[in-house]
Amino acid sequence: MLQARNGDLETLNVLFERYCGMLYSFFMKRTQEHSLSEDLTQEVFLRVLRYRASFKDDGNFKGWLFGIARNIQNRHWEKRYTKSEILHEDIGNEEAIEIVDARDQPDAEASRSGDTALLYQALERLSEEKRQIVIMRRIQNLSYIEMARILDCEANQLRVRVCRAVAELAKHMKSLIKERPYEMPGMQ
Amino acid sequence: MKCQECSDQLLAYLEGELTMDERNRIDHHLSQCDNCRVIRDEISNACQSLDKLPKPSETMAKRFSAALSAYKSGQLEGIRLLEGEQRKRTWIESIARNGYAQAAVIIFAFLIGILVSQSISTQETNGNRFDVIETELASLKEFTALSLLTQTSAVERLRGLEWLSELNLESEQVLEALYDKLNNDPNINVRFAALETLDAYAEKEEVRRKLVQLLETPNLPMIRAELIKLLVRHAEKDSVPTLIQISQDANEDETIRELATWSSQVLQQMNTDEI
Repeated sequence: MLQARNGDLETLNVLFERYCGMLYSFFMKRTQEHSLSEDLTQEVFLRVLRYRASFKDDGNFKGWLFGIARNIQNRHWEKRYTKSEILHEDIGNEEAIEIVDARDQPDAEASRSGDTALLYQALERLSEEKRQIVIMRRIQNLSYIEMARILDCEANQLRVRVCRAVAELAKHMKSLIKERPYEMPGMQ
Repeated sequence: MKCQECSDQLLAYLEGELTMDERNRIDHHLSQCDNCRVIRDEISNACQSLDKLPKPSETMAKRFSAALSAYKSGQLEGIRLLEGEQRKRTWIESIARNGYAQAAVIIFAFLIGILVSQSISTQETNGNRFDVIETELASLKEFTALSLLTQTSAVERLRGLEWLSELNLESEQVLEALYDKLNNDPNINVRFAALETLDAYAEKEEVRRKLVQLLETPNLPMIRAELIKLLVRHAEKDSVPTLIQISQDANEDETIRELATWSSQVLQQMNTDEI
C-alpha cells in the first residue's frame, strides 16, 4: 500500500486480487446481493485509490481497508433507506420500488437461506488470514499456484494451511448449528 | 502415516490435487483411522457448503484494472497540464525578477517590433495548446462516464449518470446515451436518474422536443409520470397534443391519464409571458 501511496498505482491491482474476495464476502454477508457486493467491493478500491495519501506509514492496511468498507456499507444503507422513503412519498405504493433488473433477483433468492447466513457467520469466526485463504481457494476458485503468486508464499504450504482453515471452518459450522435456537417444524 | 500428516492433506485429497502415490497412502490411513474419516467428512461437507455460495465474477478484477488505467490516463493529462502551467509561470517570473532580463526584453521588442505580431501569434498557439489539453481532458471524462453507463451493474450505471450530471457535458453522444437509459435501461432507478440528469438539459428546446417524442413511446408508468411533470415544469406547450392523446387513450394507465389531462390543462392556461 505504501508503494501505491507513493505513486506506484499498479500495486493496487495486486492488492485488489488479494482482498477482493474477502471484501466481496464481507458485503455478501451483509447485503445478500451478488451484483451489489461486487459494486461495493469496487467502490472500496476506488476510495483506496482516491484517498491513498491518507494512509499512514505505520498503518494497518487491512484495518484501514475494512474501515472504508464499513463506511461504504453504512452509507449504502442510508442511501437505500432515503430512496425508498422518497418513492413511498411520491407514489404511495410499495410495489413502486420494483427492480426491473432481472439479474438482481436470482442473487437474492440464491443467498437467503439460513445455511448461507450460518456459513458466512462461521467464516467470520476464522482469523483474517485463514478466512482470506479459504475464500480465495473455495469461493474465488483460485489455484494454489495463483494464490501463492498473489500472497507471495509457497504453494505446498498453502495446501496445508487452507486444509487446516477449512477443517476449522467445519468445526465453527458445527458449533453454530448447535447454538442455533430450536425451530418448530413448519415454523420459519 | 501419522494422523496430522493425513488430516493436513485431506483437502488436497478431496480436490484431486494429490499424486497417485500420495492418494494411496491417504486411502490406506483412512481405512484404519475412524478419527481421520470423520475429519474428511467434515471437510467435505464444509466444501460442499462453500461451493453453494455465490462467486465473485472474474471480470471484477478486470473492471477495477480498467478504472485504474482510466484514472492514470486522467492523472497523466493533469500532470502535463500542471507542468505546462508551471513552465509558463517560471518563464514569466524569471523575467519579472531580473532587471537585465526586463531591459533586454524591452530593447529586443523595440528593435524587432515587426516580430511582435508573430510573438502574439505564438502566444495564441500556446493558448490553443491549453485549449486542446482541456478538450482532451473533457473528452476523457466524457468517455469514462459513458463507459460507466454501459456497465452490467446498475450501481455503476448510476455512478456514470452522477458523473455526467456533475460534469455537465453537452455533447450529442451524451444526450443520446441519456435518452437511451431513460427508455431502455433494465433498472428503474437508472431510468429515474437519467430523467433527473436530463432535467438539467431541458432548458434546451431540442431536448424538450426529444422528451415529448419519448413520451409517445412506451415506458414504465412511474417514469412517464415523472416525464410529464418535467415537461410541465419546463412549460413545454408543444407536449399538449401528446398529453391530450394520452388522456384519451383507454389502454393507458388511469393515473397517467389523469395526470396528462391535468397537465394539458395547466399548459394550455399558461400565459406566454410566464414561459
